Amino acid sequence: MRSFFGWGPLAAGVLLLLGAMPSAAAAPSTDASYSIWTVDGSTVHVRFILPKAEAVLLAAGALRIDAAAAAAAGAQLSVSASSADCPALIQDEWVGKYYILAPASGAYRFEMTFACPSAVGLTLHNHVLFSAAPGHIDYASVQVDRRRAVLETFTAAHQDLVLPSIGQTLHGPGLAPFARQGLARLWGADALALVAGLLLLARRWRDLLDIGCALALGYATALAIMLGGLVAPDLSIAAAAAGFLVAVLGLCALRAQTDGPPSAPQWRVAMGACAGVLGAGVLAAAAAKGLSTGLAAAGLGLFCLAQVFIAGNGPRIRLLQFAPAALFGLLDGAVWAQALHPLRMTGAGLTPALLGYDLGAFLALAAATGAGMAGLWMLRRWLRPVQLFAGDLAAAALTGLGLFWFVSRLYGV
Amino acid sequence: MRAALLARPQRRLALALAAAATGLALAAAGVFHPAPRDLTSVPPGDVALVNQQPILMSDFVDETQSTAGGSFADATPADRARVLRNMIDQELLVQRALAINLPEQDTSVRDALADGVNNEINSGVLATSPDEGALRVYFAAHQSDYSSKGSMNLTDLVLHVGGFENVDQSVNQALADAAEAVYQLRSGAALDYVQQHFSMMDSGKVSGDTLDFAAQIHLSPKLYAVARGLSDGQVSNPIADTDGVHVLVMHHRVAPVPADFDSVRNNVYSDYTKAREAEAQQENLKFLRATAQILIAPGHGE
Repeated sequence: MRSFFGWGPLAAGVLLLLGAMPSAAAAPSTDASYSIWTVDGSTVHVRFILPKAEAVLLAAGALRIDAAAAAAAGAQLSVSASSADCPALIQDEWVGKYYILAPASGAYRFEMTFACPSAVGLTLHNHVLFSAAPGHIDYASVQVDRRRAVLETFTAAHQDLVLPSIGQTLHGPGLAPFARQGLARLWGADALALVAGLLLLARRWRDLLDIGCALALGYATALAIMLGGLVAPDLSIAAAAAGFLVAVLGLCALRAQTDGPPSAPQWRVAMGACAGVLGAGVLAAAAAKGLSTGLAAAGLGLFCLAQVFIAGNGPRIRLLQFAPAALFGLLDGAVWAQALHPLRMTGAGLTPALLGYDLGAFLALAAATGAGMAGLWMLRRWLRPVQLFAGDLAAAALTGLGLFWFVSRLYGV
Repeated sequence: MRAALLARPQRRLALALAAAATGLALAAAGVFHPAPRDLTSVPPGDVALVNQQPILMSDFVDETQSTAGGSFADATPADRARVLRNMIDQELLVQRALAINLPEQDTSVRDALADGVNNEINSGVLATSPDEGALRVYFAAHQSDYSSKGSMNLTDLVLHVGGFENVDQSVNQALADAAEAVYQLRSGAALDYVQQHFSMMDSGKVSGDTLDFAAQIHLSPKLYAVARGLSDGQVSNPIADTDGVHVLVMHHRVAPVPADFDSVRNNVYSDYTKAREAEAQQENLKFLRATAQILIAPGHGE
């Protein structure tokens, strides 16, 4: 296929991006809180972990954000036993109902204890932030009478959790709520950009199978790694790397749309500029963020150059063209699992959640790619006149957007 | 196979694959790091792990010896178990104190922590005894601190300048009047007569026999420097100060007598040690400030 590639579409893509960046800059939403419920007979102890952004929202301009957020959130937490409210214990005259703990990992924390009249018919109620932010989710570790802790979720639609009768085991919600979160991953800007990049590279229906395999491999590897618990991702570097993969797909698409060896002067200049930017980026990342970031940047840069080369070398190794999809799945699954770290749950307790999320996210991305391919196939007659131009423009836009995500997520812009 | 790999297109492809694999390995090393693993057995050198925090065997031995009052080998299993239980309880309480951020909330805990750090710093000072030469140098530099207490009984006459009642009085005019008053006092004129004749006021800053340190507090540094040099019956020259022109009349002066080193050696030793402790604490704070990031809200200062 002869590419329409030239400086015009690239410049246009970059200009388009400048308008899109502010809304797309953020990493996947972290609109989540964490709560650890420990039920011991008729006493319920809860430790609530509130990220600072959510705490500021709750504190409503108060000077002491931790205390104000604890009071506001604490008022939304309650426990009942057989429909009778369980009073929150006054810890002491000074701290009142809330023990404010030392902040950890960018989150405020506080504790409360509820004393119920009996252990029969216990129900946990959590209404924190759902009216102000309907998309908010609270990941809850619930341990009843020293049995294995179970991961539950509180959402706007599910604000009450009925505990089983005495002697029975809390089984947890299964895969469904986490699979829903995985499916919702598709609405993340970087996931949509990934799908767009995969569509730019796909040429035949058979490619959908390659993409599905790549995504499945990535999410399965993430599941194995995070359940194994031997390694853990650095959240900011992993989120930045996921953004960078979009740029890799954009560059691969640009290369794949160009026939023959990249001998045009524009290509030489572009490749030289890319190598320069990558080198400078690696050095800057290592200097500003440490060796791990430098290593990640160097590795991603090398991977990017190799992928661009592979993309221009025919259909024999097409599966490798979709390696960014596998890596995106790996990073996405690992980041989501690591985000549950504040709950300090073990691998077995996390299995349904991780499996559900990975399955949901895989299905969402694979289905979106399939739907996209079907849509493009159906519209092929109308798209043909603008296919080359639109392809180059979209590839350039993805490249710029991916690089922007990489930098902004790495430096927390 | 080998020949195929050596062919140019395949070689380039193989190199690209190797580069991609290397890049992935590097990126993985940057993105992933070993997850902290919980210890499931007590490592050598520790006697217990409390929420993964070790209790050192050496601390356990010391605590057992100090509690049981003998060697560790002589302590009974019951004694050891009781000590270990107490140490685990204490570790739990310390962890709880850190969890509820007690050092940030309780001033007594903050004071105890600050004192603990200062004691750590002081231990280095206390570990080395000062030599005699250093003590004598310190004594010479601070001799006034080791003198007997002096006292003075004086009258401080003042001609105010520039106030509401003395708006026309200039400094030069007051100096001239004060010089005349000094002449008359030195010639034997009565204090009351001179005071009345020149409209001079008793400042009232000191009255009766006053110890030197008290006089130093009440008189200005300029006046005290002159007063400490006067002897019985002496009258000072006019002294221009911020509130007017003063004349000091010394009625009785007991000058401080410096003590000899041997009679106050213990005090010198104690003061020298305290001074070195304060110096070490200041050095520590200087280092901490140099390595700290301190941001102060607008409108405030230290």
